[in-house]
Amino acid sequence: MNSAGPQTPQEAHVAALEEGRLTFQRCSDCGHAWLPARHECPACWSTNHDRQEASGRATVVSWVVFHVAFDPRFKDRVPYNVALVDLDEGPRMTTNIIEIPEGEDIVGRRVALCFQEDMGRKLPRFELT
Amino acid sequence: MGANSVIAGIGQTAFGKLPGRSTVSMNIEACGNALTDAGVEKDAVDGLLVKVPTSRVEMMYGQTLAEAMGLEPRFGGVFDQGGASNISMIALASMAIEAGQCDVVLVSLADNPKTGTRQAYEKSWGDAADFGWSSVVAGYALIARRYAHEFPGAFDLFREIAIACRAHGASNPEAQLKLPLDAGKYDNAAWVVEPLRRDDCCLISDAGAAVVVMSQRRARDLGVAAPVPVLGFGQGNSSSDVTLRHDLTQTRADVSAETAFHMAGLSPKDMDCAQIYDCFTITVAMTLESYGFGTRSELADLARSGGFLCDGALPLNTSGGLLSETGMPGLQLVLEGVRQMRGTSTSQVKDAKKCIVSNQGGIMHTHSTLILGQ
Repeated sequence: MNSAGPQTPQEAHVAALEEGRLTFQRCSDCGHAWLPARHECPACWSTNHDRQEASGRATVVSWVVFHVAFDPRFKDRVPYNVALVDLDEGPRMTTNIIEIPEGEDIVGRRVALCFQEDMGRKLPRFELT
Repeated sequence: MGANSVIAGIGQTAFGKLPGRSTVSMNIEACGNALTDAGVEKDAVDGLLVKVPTSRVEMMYGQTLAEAMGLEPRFGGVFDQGGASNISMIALASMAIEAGQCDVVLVSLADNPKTGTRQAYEKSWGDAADFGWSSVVAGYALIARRYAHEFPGAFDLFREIAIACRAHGASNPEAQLKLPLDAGKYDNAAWVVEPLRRDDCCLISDAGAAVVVMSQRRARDLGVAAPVPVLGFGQGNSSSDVTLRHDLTQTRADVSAETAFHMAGLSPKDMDCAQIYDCFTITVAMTLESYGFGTRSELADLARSGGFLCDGALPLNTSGGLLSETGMPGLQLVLEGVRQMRGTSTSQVKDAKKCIVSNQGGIMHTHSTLILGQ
């Protein structure tokens, strides 16, 4: 958190996560909704936008399984997955799926938000529904 | 139609592990070899364009290199588009020459991730780092998974692409990896980031390469022995981070190729061979589709029938590509295109008269296309 100046959009996003709320921004002028946090709407460049809370319902776009830990913090966690999901409200985000059944293609599967305490913070993960 | 420029000379360093060599040193060696190949003196050079090294990004690198080369170029600097930079710089050189900004341009690339740092390829990505999101290979794996969901024959196509590139690398004495690949070895290799296996991934290399660009008239005046005409070029940049890209299996490679084909007045069927950026096998599959060489199924059929081999219908990466010759990001593909047009490749395509070359960068953020002729 930047105590010296006004909160940046990303700081506001992270602060909401710490309260257990997954939020995104929606443009007050054109209605576009997005993640990650930005100062300007990437569709129309407007600076008029609201922070809204996601319903937590989403669809899997793609996912991968790391068998190598490029980040040393994950060396005891391989294999682990990272997934892309589209929130029902529109924004796309990177996350983990809590459990993927062996051999299953989960592209297109519906998932639900499930916060987990990990990495010293509240992480917005998803589980298959 | 077409450009009035030629590639007058090509040069490279050894490929592999080159301890103790800076990127400046490798750039100078490659440029020196390119000038020797063109038969042109250093004093004739008045343009210098260089790709920013990935392993250690330095400000004003173009000027650092010019100083070390004892050059004060009229036209020069760095281009930062990842692997697409090389062809983009050749295009920029051609346009600058046409506009009277300079006459003889060196376009150069060198990097040393093998003895230096691989940080650029393995780093974690922003706020998603706490999910374990890191590395370049994982970005391509995300694309490959979606592609395989859409096209069940994906892995058969990926396997054939890897086998063809490795076969051509095995015939190239300069290649870093001269070990042919077969289906069994491909299928049994370890996952890196699933669904990509070891042999889907390019090499990590210390290497440098350079080309000399000038006008056709200048090449004639200087008595250049084997100039290769630049027929067309183009760019297309999807730009957004892979995790935000609207459609994971589409890029702007189609726009890049369309621009180059239009400029050259040619189409995919006119191409005798293709040097396609193969940082990962998925990249080749998507690029060939975007370029109009066939649907996913048609490409898989072509691959299965040996179409990507030197004597096939669409010879692919005839010096081994990034998968086998060197993992250097892209200029080696242009060098091989030049050799094919000169008839000097180690996997020479019979009567090759037109060659398409693709470069791309980041995780399919950027794309550039070059068409060479005779």
